[in-house]
Amino acid sequence: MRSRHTLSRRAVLAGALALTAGPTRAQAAPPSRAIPSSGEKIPPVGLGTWITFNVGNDPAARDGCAAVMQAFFEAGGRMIDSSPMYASSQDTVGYGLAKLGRRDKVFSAEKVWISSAERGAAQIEESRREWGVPRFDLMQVHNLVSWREHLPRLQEMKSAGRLRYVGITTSEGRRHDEFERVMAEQALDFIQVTYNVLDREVERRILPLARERGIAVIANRPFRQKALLLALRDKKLPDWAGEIGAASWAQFVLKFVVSHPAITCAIPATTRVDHVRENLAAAAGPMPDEALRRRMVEYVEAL
Amino acid sequence: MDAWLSYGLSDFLLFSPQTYFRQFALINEAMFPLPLLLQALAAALLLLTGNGARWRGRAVAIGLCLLWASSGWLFHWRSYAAINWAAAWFALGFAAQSALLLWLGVAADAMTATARSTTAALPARAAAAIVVLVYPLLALAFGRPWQEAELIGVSPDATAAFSAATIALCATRGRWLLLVLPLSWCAIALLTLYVMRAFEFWVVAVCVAGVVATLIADRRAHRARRTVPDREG
Repeated sequence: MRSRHTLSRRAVLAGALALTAGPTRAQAAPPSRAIPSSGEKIPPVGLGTWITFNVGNDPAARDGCAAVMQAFFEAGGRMIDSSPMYASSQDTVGYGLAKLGRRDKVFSAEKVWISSAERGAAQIEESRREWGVPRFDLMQVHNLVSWREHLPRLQEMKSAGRLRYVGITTSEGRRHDEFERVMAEQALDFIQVTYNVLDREVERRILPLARERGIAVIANRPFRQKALLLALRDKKLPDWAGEIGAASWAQFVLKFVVSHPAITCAIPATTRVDHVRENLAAAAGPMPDEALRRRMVEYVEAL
Repeated sequence: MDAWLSYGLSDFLLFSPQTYFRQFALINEAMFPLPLLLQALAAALLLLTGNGARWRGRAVAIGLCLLWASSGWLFHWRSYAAINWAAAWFALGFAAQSALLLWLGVAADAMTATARSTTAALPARAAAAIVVLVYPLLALAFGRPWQEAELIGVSPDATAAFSAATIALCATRGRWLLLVLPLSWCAIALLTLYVMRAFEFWVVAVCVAGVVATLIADRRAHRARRTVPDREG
């Protein structure tokens, strides 16, 4: 993903404002979104760890991930999302938090991903040790695996103060019917779904239901695991991207995601410091209105 | 159950190709010169599979046993397990294959260094030679650091492809039993390399094709020998 930018001169000028913090200076915190169930505000761009943070025991790669986390925090980011499914990603996050001394700043979003209800608590505790945090802010049932067994336990943990928020996740359109039923029947603080300029199925029912039920929404795969940016990298960014301060396709696509009124936070993943700064910068500046959002969809679909 | 069925092949690729290939560099650097010695052992085994005395069959079995044990330990257990939660099971499978080679190849004397038919042996011999001579060069050929060279005895893909070819050449009894795990790993390797869009996919595929070709040719030659009337009988 070397060439992430395909810029018109006008878009460069318009987007430059959002990137003026430069490569080494701390950026101002991006605007925040409220979590409906509590009113607590979090920045609308977080950090995903799927694949990118699964680097195993490679010291250089672990330090690279810590550098990404440092840039993320300096740019005002807070939510980091991981899962036991992501192998060493949790350990890498824990390494970065310890190295940077940011355990108190992170909004920790984790998942329980195990069929056995009995082993759910042990998995959560193991995840907590990997992160090195006193408790998780958000614990989600990953891809609805054994949700009937896990959700009551998570609600108990929340009541006991061992969690702050409870949620469920899916991705790439999996099991949306069941997902909707759980949303309608259970007391949830968060849901996590796939949402981007091409994958918009959740706009029809799930996002309206989230607004109706007062549930915060995390958008995963905003770049379709970079496939979307790879497909767009040789295409021309429209001149009107400058109207919303999008200086790159990454910012264009992210602004589309976080400008939906139901979206609380998008969690793009990256291994590059410049990309994480660029992602956080997308949360600042003007956002597209509904008419411009439709135009963004039409433009990308036509490419 | 529905949750598990909803996953696709790419969902189980938990790491980037860069991270995967980087594991070989980390092992090669940390364990030097052991990976080179293991590769030299594999090259020696290839030379032993020509024809020769009975001890050579046992030597090939012991050599393969060491290569499976080392790959299971160095790659799966020490390295891959950190980025793939299934790798501990893979290490167990490699240990099982190592034990099987010791049992069938040495104790039961089921390996011989003489192939049944030169023509039938040719594809598997070519496959083994490709793994020994070409596989370690692929990293460099595709712009990756030479330290990421995949050597037999470390790389499970190279170890399995080389072993499948060698077993096809040498096993006289229990051949299918000895081939189950090497060919199963080749299948896993092909899926992984396919999702990673790695060129190594084609090399493993060619090697497996060579093994299958030898097995088929060998079986046909065996049947032909059984059906030809004995002129002196």
